[in-house]
Amino acid sequence: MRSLRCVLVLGWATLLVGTTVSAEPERVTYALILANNIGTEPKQAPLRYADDDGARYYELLSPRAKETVLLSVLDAETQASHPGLAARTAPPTRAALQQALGRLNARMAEDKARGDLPVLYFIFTGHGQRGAAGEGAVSLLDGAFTRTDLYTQVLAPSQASLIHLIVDACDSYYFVHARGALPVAPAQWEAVRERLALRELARYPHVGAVLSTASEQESHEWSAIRSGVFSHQVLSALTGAADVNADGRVEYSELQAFIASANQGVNDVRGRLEVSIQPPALDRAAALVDLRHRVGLGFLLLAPGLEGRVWVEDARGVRVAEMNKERERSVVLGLPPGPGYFLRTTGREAPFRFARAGAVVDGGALSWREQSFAARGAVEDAFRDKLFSVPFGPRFYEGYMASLGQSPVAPEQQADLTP
Amino acid sequence: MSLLSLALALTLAGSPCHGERVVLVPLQPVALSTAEARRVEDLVRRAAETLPGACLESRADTVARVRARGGRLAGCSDAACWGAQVLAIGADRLVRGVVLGVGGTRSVALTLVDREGRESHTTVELSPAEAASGPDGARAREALLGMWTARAEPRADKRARVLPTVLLAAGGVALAVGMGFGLTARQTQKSLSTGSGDCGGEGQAFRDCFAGRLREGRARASAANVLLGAGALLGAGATVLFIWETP
Repeated sequence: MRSLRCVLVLGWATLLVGTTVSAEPERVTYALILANNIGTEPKQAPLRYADDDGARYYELLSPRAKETVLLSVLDAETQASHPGLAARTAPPTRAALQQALGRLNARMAEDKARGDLPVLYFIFTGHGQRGAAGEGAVSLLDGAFTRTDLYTQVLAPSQASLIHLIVDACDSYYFVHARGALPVAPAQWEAVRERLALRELARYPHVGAVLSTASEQESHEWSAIRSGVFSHQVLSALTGAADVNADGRVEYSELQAFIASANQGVNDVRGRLEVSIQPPALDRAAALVDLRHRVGLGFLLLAPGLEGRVWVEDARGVRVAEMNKERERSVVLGLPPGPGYFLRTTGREAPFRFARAGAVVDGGALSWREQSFAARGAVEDAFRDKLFSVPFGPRFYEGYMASLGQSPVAPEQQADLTP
Repeated sequence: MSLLSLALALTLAGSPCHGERVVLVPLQPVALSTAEARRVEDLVRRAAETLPGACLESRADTVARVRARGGRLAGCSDAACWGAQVLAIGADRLVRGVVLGVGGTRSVALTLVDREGRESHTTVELSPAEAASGPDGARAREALLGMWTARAEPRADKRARVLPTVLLAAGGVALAVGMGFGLTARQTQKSLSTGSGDCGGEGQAFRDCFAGRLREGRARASAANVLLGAGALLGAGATVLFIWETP
């Protein structure tokens, strides 16, 4: 009788565990990154750091993704600073994009069939423009890739259950959204309305959009960090710097507030970013990154006490994360474990290294020394003193969310103060 | 027998702890629930109770202190702030920490601070499933013990005591050599004042020998005075430095 009871209990427990496991499908991440310095129009001067941004997105996302595709022609400087990466890239052409999309969609369909949850990062850094018809487009190596192309070739056929669309380009808003009058006669409006509706983000509730410009605006690059300003802020946020409630997840609202705080001190309107960030309508609390999952990253803990503007540079001099930390906030940055790093503040630096993926380094235990290098970049660079000049943390976030009238993320978990 | 055991247990429980008073502040969760962080904290608390010479404050008392300070101790970035916090809470040593649930595993980063604000740090990786497992407890004990013993013999103090020791040794040597010179000078003075100073002959030869012995004696006396003075100065300097560097 006792053994029968044991068998019954074991069977029930197995059933319960099986149900629990199947209740939470595994998230499988893919990333498709397009980075192109060259514009399609003669008036568009070549960018300097779009390929660097693409390489940084690749290095940050590839440890946590099942497959990461980088379509970019890296310039000599970027190839030197990211050795071996060029061999894993393909040119950012329409054909290469379609080939990559086809392969990723096939893999994501297999994931879905297994009951997993495929997540796709679709990222573009480079030139963008608004065409004569008002339709936004970004520049590939062999021509423009329009908003129509985005919806018909990327979003509509995608097998992903969740898509994070990140675009750092001039007029990027119009690459995703339509606004204003279209050059269509009133008599033709009804005929094209249904077709146009298919090109609205509202039709794709599983897509979240992070766009560098909310209006007709240029994107900016910053020579001191060899990066586009917007991409640098997004990449910093995705390391975990924007995780305001220390739950290990970076939600869209946290990213939005992080970028707002980073640009708060920029007085020059030409340098201030007006971004457009829209979470997936299906799940407005969807996380852009989740550091809780097993990923091939090392983790730097910045505990309460450290405050002010801090940034992390790797041994190659690439600034991989930057923030202005509120004193009482705990932050964990997830970084690729390979190279050695320096945690820096004004006038001081502390070297550190992750022994392996998954290792945690306590920033409070690091040995600081006087900074032994001169700041790079032009002295007149207005971004140096103004970006990240406002501390980011729960106080800023709550105020910012209140000003937008949006719901904030759950408050930070506190230590258990029950006796 | 059981009554005797109970009486012994009560006696031990009631006896005051004579070690250093240690306060373990409730650990802050990051990417982890409060309940999970509490389980890890209990694990760390059990490990801290085994530290040699440590008297760990009960959790209830610590929680009452933290509540009285608004539910959270302020973060510190320098020794003065840390030291003031330890003093304010009435402890000899303070253990603070963060429990992390990142990368599919759990870790705890701990900081031990003393009254002077000196910090020791350790990070312990725990098994992902159950915090109270045997290996986790052993790892936590080992890490805490390493941190505890590291702070007992601060390397900075050792380095700081090197200079007074060198000064004292140099002063001692100078005094000893000076005393030797002084004794020989004294001997020369005695032999010259009471006798011929071991000089033989007569006339000019005797006078030259006597004058030579006199010069030797004076030189030895001067050297003795200089060495004794230097020895005294070095000794005084070493004493002042020693007192200055005593915590």
